[in-house]
Amino acid sequence: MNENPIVKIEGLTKTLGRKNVVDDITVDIYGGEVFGFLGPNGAGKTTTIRMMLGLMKASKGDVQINGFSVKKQFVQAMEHVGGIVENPEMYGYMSGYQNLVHYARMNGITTKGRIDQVLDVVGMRESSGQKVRRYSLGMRQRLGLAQALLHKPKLLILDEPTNGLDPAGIREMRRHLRYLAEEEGMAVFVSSHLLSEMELMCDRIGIIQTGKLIDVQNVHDFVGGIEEKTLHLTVDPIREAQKILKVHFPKQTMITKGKTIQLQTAPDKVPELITELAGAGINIYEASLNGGTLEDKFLKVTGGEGVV
Amino acid sequence: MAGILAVVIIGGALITLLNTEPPADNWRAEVQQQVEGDREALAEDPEAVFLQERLTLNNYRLDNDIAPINDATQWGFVDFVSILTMFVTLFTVIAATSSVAGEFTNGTIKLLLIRPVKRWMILLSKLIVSLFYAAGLLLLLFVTAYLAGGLFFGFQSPQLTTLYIDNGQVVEQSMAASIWAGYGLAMVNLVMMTIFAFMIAAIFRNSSIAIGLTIFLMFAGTNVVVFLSQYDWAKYILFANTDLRMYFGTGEPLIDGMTLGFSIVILAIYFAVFAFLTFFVFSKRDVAA
Repeated sequence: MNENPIVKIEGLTKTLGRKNVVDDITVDIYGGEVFGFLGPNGAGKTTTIRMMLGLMKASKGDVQINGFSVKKQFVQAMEHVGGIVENPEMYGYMSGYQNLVHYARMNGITTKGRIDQVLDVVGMRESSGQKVRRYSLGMRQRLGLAQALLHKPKLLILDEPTNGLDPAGIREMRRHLRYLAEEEGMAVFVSSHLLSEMELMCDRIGIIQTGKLIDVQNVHDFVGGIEEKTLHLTVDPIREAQKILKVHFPKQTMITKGKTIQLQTAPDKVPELITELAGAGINIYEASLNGGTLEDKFLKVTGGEGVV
Repeated sequence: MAGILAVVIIGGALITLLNTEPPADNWRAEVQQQVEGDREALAEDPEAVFLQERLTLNNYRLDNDIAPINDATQWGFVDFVSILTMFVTLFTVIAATSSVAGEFTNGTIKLLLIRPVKRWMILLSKLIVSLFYAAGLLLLLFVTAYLAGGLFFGFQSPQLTTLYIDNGQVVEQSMAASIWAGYGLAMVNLVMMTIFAFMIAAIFRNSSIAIGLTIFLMFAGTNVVVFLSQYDWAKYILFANTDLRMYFGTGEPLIDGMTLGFSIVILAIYFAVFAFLTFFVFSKRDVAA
């Protein structure tokens, strides 16, 4: 990750009527990272994105992109950002390629072949001659991504990029975003209301609720750490496993369901437990670690809804 | 839209061909006949202004050897077709409105406005294109009318003279001036309607509402102005000034005391206000579509 933040969001606030739809959000986003913007529907994610892209005016605070204020230096700021807001709506009566030509012109791109390059990146070279009207949602999302990458921006903003994609499409989108952050050094800002998806895609996740940024967490802190999480073990024979685990956790009542044992442990201890179980000749079919601070917090703020 | 326009013109030429008697070889005899008929009618009703004027014109024709221009001739048809500029206005309003409001309705405005280009420049480019579109349609109207007129009625030289009566005096006007009034001045109306449509589109951001409202105001406005023409203040209404043909040829100012200069000033003020509102609203308002 780079030292200097590409995006500086400072005290960003949007007041509609008397309500602060986005309330004093401050966060920095760096090159090379995928930043997840997580919150239930109506939490203010899209409004924040609209302010970052200059579609809406901030009531208070500002966004700086690559050092340029979206409020005061709109044109310079926009040169360094590409994005999709909600659905990537493009001109249906033109082909995908023609749409890209249009956006390239507006971005002042004169390099020949840049359009073909981005089409290759998103795998749309073949279908770029078709009218956008005939595109499936997945194709539109890809073309949307191509459009956002045309001018090689330092910041990519995607609003619910996996909306309407099938599992294969989601995996592909995830791969794209990881590639852009890791290989191209871009800062990628992704919003979603699905925690599971964010965990797989992002380096850091910020949780937003009723316009406030409640918490920002590193996703990789999930893996290690001494904070207790819930461990699910599917093992056979289950009795033997319970005996061994009892030695380590004498005070805990383990919940058993079929061949699955559920217990609370610090992630640090997991490798050790598994080695011991395996050493005792117990077959381990599955071991998974759930929960932790992020999920707890997210569940609390969303009331358990919106998590899949 | 261009296709519709062409079909309407060619259809119009066909109808004219079938319904209008072609110009007689000996126009003098025909005019003479009309003069005699009018004299008899006038003897019974000396107050008939229309008959008096026609008589004056016909006498002038016979004295100065100026043939009447029939609708079923090339330039007569071209002149007649200038009434179809209202189609051009209609299509321009539709195109101008959808180029602004349509972007909001379809959601394409978002990807358009996150480019490194100021919003006023985007709007200005849309305005310029709409005006070019209007001018293009107008040119198409003229060229199609010219060609259709030539093909149906035979090509002829534009060195023709039209006559009209101004304050009881017969005035000669070249065909070119008449055509200019019909087509060229229509552009003034087109410019005003385009900026008007832009304003409505920028405010309502909905194609259907904007197109409906603009067309409604355009037709209703013209009629309401005629209705209100008894009041002096009606001359400050936009629609009382959009048709500049009233200052040329056979036209008459809607309200006494209106002059070409007055109308141009009023139109300029309306244009400035509409343009300011359009650009202000488009540049400042949040995009939530």
